[in-house]
Amino acid sequence: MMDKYLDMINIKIDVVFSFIEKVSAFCFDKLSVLLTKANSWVIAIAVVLLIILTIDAAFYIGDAS
Amino acid sequence: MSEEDISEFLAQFGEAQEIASISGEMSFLSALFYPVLTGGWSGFFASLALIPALLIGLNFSDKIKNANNELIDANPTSISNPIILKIFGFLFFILVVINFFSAVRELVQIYYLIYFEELLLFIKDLLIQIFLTIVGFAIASLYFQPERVNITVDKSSTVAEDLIALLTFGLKVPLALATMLSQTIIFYGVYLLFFGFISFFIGGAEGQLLDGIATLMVGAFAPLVFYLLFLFLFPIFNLYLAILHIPKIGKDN
Repeated sequence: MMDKYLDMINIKIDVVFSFIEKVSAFCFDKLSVLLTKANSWVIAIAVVLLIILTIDAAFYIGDAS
Repeated sequence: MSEEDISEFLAQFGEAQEIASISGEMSFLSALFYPVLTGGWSGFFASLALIPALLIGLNFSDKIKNANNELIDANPTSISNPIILKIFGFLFFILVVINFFSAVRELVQIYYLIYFEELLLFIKDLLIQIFLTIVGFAIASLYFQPERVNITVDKSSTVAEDLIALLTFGLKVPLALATMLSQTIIFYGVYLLFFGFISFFIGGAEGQLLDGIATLMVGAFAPLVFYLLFLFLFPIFNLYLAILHIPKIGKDN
């Protein structure tokens, strides 16, 4: 009697286990694609932000004690 | 470098650490980039140097990508049964989920969501938590596919070889995911940098801007760092594997 319930619980846990496997594989695939596509844009934004920071720093030349 | 320069640098570093202790957010690494905000010629050149440093880091990382893959191919480890990795993967996944919910709980406690500005900050932090959780899930996928980090399932693998495979798994994961992790850290760095810019130019807060710069630089050089970490730490396990291989000599053929 109890064996049946334990088997049922085991089956449920196995379902969760395979779900986790699928979710992680899905996240890996989608994240790889997304990051590869976005990478060049992200770097371009980073360079632009750093250029702005440099320009801002140029305004304060001579201000530092 | 004169004594004056050294004392000036130490004073600046002390000031940066003071800011770090006040904000409680800025790390030691972020404090290293403090000269960027000092103004004057030193601030200008420090900011200017960041762009070539970023591009050089990316170039190094691109070149070392193949070397990372070759290192994994050249260092196989074996495990008698992959189930232990699957269980660790399951636990890792659960930890990532718990981490996400505890982070969200913390964010809800920090921000007063009835104010619009705080709601925006909450959304900003929530988005990054979601992103980091997805990255955690992606890392967990390697536990379910150990062949991607050159861990072969071999029934004749000894207990010691199994242990080495498990211990070296943490070293192989950053190497196998070097490109993805580097891109992730850069993405996170640019995200911090962008919002750091807003905080810096509107509110004068420096911590997040420096965090963004530090994270960006770490991301640019990450594959190189992973390569060096593997290079320095894996030989210890190589030695053990060589000792374990001695009884097998002559029995392979």
